[in-house]
Amino acid sequence: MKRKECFLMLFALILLLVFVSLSSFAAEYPKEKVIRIFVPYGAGGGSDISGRMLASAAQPLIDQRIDVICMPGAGGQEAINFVMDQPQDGYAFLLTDYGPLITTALTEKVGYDLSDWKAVFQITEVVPTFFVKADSPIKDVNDWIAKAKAEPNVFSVGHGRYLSVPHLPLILFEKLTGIQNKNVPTTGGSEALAFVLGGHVDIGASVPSTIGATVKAGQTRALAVCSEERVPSLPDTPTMKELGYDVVLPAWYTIFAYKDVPEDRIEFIQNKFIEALNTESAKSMAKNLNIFLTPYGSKKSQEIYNATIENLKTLLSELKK
Amino acid sequence: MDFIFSVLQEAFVPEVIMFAMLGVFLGVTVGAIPGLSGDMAIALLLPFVYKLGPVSALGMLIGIYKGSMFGGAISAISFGVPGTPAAVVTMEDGYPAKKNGYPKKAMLTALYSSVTGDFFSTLLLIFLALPLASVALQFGPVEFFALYVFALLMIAFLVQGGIKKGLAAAGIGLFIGCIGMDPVIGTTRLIFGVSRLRGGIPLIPLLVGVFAVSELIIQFAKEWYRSRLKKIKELSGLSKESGYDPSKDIMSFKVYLSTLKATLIGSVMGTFIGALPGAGSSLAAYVSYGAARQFSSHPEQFGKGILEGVAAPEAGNSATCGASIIPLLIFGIPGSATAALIGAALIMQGINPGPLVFQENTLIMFSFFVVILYASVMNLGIGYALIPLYAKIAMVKSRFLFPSVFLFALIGTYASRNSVTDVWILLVAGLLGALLKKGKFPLGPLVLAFIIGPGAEKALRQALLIGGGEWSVLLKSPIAIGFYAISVVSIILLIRFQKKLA
Amino acid sequence: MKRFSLNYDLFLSGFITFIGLAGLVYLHFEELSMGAGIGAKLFPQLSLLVMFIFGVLMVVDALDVKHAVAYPEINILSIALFLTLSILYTLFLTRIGIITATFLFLLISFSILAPKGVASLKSSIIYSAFLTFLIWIIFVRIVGIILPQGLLI
Repeated sequence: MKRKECFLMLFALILLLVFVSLSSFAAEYPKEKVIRIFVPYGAGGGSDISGRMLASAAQPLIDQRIDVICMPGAGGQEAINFVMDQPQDGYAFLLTDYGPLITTALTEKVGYDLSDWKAVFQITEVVPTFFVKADSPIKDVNDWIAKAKAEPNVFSVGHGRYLSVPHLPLILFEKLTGIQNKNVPTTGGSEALAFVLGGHVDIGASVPSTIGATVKAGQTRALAVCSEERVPSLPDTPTMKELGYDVVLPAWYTIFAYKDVPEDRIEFIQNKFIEALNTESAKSMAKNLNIFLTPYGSKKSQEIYNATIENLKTLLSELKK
Repeated sequence: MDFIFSVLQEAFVPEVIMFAMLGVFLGVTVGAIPGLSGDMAIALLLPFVYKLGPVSALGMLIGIYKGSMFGGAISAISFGVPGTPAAVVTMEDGYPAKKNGYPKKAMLTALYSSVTGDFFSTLLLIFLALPLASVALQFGPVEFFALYVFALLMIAFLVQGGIKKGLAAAGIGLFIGCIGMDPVIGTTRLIFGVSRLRGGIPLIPLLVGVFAVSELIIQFAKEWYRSRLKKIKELSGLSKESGYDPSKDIMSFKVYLSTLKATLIGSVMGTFIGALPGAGSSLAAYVSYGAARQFSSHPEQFGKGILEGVAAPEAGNSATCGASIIPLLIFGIPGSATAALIGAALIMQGINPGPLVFQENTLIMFSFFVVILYASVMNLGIGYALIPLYAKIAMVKSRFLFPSVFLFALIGTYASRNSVTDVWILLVAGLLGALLKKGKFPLGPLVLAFIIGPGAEKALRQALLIGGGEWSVLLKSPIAIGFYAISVVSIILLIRFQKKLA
Repeated sequence: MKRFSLNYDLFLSGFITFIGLAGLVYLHFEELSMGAGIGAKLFPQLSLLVMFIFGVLMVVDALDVKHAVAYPEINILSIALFLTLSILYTLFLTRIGIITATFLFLLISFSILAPKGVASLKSSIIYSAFLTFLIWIIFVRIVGIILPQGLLI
């Protein structure tokens, strides 16, 4: 009797193994296996959400599963290293903002060159935004500068992590205007928002998707955005540029492929992504998420990528002085 | 009236009920498996959230949260291995309770207090969301630091092997927490060139390693020791304690009432801490335990299997379910990592957490409230049904049990963040835990210090930055002074208490 | 101090004291950023100090034979054995695949703990097969974990 059990189990195991191997018998790109997009941040964050939005819009178009996988380990380097180690066949991509990919590479030793990464598709632009509590005595950017010049180091600014997407524009702004503020690092946009609302810091630096709802409800006021043009979800907020300060440092969530992925596959997938984000359902999803869609294909994304690298190099070397 | 009717209609659709039940079932199961956590299950299911209607999706995710808060207690009590980080404290009295012959009482106490705490904070969510959230906002770096100091001092209360060992363990925990990027500037420290450690030591591998793996290693060692001594009797060491007397292990309403004070303390603490952004269910469990011990009529029995020591942390960790959603819904600021995940799910359904969430999505939000409430009830029912099933697993012959649970924990740890480094950390932590256990060190303080350390450091440094480098800024807040006062009073009481024992 | 023996407690507390001290010395010479207020050194130093102080106190306890507390039946050798098995598992997991590695690990650990005899070998094999199958179902099919090399068998 024990023997029978043994055989039955073995038989079942074999059946399953056959089943598994059969199911990977398919045709051509992109149907051979699951497409995976790796995110160097924890689940629930901005890049994760944009990735999932893209995935759900694109899946029906290519008739293949797209999984978004979060690997926040080692400050994001695990995800990067993982994608580098994958076979370069167009089934593994990296979705990130410039922090883990560029900033880390410029400030520490990493195992890749920035030129090894090919931008495939940019999902959205993430614009650093300065904001205050609605009843704050700071009326606008110029007011901030005037008050800060009169009494330096009085205002505290909560900005995400050190050298993060909202922090760098703050540094740039301080350099340009010569004002001094107390820079208070926080774990991210949420904490900066909480501190501003609670009156623990005077000014906050974050992104529209984090503060959008509170601005609409009148609990916070956005002072300025750091992009070329105004942000659709904050139509009344001027850009720094309009106000006369050249602080233009938007971030992006872009999908990257590592160096040896074939060009034709990149071409194929970026076309599909562009198509996906132009559908009505994608557009309405994005509107709900306060995500400003910028469906740029590989050529434009690559230009923006290179420009960002240059900007950051300059900014970071300024910092060192 | 019409509105109430449509809300109830939305909430009681069969599909919603089914997904809520599925969620609770998954939550309890995942919670009971060491190495897997509710957060992981929620993160894995996020992609499927699209396919469901908003109320079903949210019902399912909330069900998982609730279920996992209780599920962790099952393995904590049955085999001394916490199924989730939040169940670590439950184990302090839960496992001794099982060893003393009343596992069923302990588990049912855990279940009932979990549900009570959960229900309590859900009701609070529904009725007091706004005022509670504004209190949470009063907590800035200065207040948080005071809270963390208070919690770290609570460690002294948890100590079993003597204060010296407890504080040394806390020191070790603090130290391990300092490895990696510092919380303020991000400079890497203490990684000795191992770049994989840049992000610091992750919580779950450390936790599962220090508690679960170390226990498994030790049991393996004990089994081996016994088998080498050629003992013929199958000594399970865990499940078949000689003299299990079912008649002494009956749960009754009277028993529930006897622990009610502890349960309520846990519920209040858990709700409060759950509403604070950044504090989590583990912290809630620890503080609840410490507070319950403080107010108990039998504080000396804590750690020996007293049911109050199971009721308080379970109520505490479950109370964070409703509470952590409060700041999420009102301000878009999640009160815990799990709430952040639920926030992501809300966003994917087109619902923007934040001040306008009720105006923009009135029907859905109110239906959601109803679902959260009845999910608590489901938790009660499903938990009750699953206890005998999952606890039986502990009855399996131990030589099969330990290696299997170990592998589950190992693979589960890997699956949680797709990282082999995590597995190595798991093993090292396991070794550390085993060596410390052999020396009769209390491990609770180590883990708590590890969890709280970075937060405390960050709060301290943020406070100093805001205050321009003046240490006096720490005393500029009434809330902070309050916490420090309670800490001082508690230390004095503790010293007096110790003298009484001597 | 009349007699002292080299017992485990002494070893453990001594080790903790040593780490505390070594760490403090190391940090003293290490350059860590002093930015943002109190700088990045304070907390590690604080924790090491705690370890050192209480380590010393425990060493004093351990030297006094009356205080010997450690569990004798937790054999260091068996800990090493189990750990070696686990390390081998983790190393081979990505090389020979999850099913084979899991099956072998379980088989070996069940057998080590088993009383002698063919019957227990058979039950070891059956349980190993069954649990390997269970693990496969849960983690590969349902959870969908990714293994570095994509190996399954």
